[in-house]
Amino acid sequence: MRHKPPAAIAGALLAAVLTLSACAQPSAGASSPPEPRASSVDVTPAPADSAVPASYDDIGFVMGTVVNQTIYAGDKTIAQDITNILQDTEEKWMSWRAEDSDIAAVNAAAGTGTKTPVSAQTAAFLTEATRLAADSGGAFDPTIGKLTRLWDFDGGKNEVPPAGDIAALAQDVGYEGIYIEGNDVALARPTGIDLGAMGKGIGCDEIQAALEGRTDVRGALVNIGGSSVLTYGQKDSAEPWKVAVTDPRDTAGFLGVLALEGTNHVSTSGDYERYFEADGKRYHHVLDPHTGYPANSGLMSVTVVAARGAASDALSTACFVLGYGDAALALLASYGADAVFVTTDRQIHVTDGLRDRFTQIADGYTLQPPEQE
Amino acid sequence: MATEIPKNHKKRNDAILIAALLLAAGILFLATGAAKKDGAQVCVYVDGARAASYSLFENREIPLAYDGHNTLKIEAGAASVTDADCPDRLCVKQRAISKQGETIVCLPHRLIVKIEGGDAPDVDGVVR
Repeated sequence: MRHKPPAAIAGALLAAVLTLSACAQPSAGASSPPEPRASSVDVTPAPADSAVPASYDDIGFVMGTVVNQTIYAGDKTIAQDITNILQDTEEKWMSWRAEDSDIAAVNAAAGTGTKTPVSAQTAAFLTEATRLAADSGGAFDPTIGKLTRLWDFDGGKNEVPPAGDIAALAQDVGYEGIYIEGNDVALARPTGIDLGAMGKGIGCDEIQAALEGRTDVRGALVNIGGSSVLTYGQKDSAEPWKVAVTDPRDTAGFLGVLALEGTNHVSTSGDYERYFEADGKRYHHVLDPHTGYPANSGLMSVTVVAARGAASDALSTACFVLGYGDAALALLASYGADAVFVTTDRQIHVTDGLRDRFTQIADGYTLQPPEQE
Repeated sequence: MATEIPKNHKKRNDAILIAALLLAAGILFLATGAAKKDGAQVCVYVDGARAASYSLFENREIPLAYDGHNTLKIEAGAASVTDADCPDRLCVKQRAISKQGETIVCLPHRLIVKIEGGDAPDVDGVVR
């Protein structure tokens, strides 16, 4: 006998998913008072005896989202260190939306031919984003900022913008228009840069770098905002990390579980996180930079496992836009990355590197055998 | 004849069999339902210490008064914070939780609401 959660639960969850985008972003405006340092809460379960716990659980609020950490270490100070690292990353990233930030300055000068000096860090992030955009043939493209704002999925506008407005903005989108010379950046066309599809992944990269500098940390699992997960090192049990992939049509349930060894970055892009329905059609937040409309590539979700967070985050977006096929598979292979694709006709395709690591849980999906060469 | 069962007895026996099957199915349904109910708990942590826990499957509204006030609502197998007097009210804006390990955080009140137990497979993390 299989226990399905009552429809009411599914409904409540759906409502909850819809409200996710309503999560407030901490203000980073230049005129607002300084934000307090990020804080977090230790939620390590009390050990059965007085023994020192083997791992520490911590929940914090950083980067405008919830960050969950499980740390296998001698003490719990690392959890606060990680929260602070993310806070620093947030200030670098979120401040880009403030009027005096690097990215705002670059965006303000877009299309004028003026070069804008930026920090070395900003230049490095932009270089990485541009490379991922080029490698994906523009399926991931950081110059979609104006389109993202037009659709405004985060603001919960929930209506399809006028076709003319979408077409006009989509025409200018293109990573080819980004010029980076040293720390000088210019946008050839009047576009806007938005690195939202990479931000959490970069946060995971920064955490990994910090953990690698600590000899007392044996293992860690850090989850930023639910959609980006870092597994680092090893649990004390030496068992693989078990990371569940959400069922895209029953978000209360798990599609399956990935058993991952050592350090990995896992990111999911799906059509169920932020979306609205109009005229019986689902409009989700992953935009196809070429059309300006939500990607319609026949996928409900794609989960990418890669060695770097920024890559795994951007690749999940790119693969969602490309759909399941040769282009996405070649892109993943070029980054040494693997993925679990879920198509709208409920087929699951797992690339070779994850084939033995993925266990299906949800009914109603067909796990496909490997492609015949 | 001893082997021949009168027609009306046959009908009666059928009715008894059906009733017995229905009863068994009902008991099984209640038993498995109860087992599930026992599983998932909505646990409240204040400053990292467990302060209270409630069944995820009993609809109720609970006023939490620790470092401040938060209203915890449990409905249809999901828990949410519907009201709070903290300055940012981020806890109210977070999604309802229903899966093992999911949390709602109120940092100003150092309060965590967490789902524990239940029939979800044991995993280290969930990506969505």
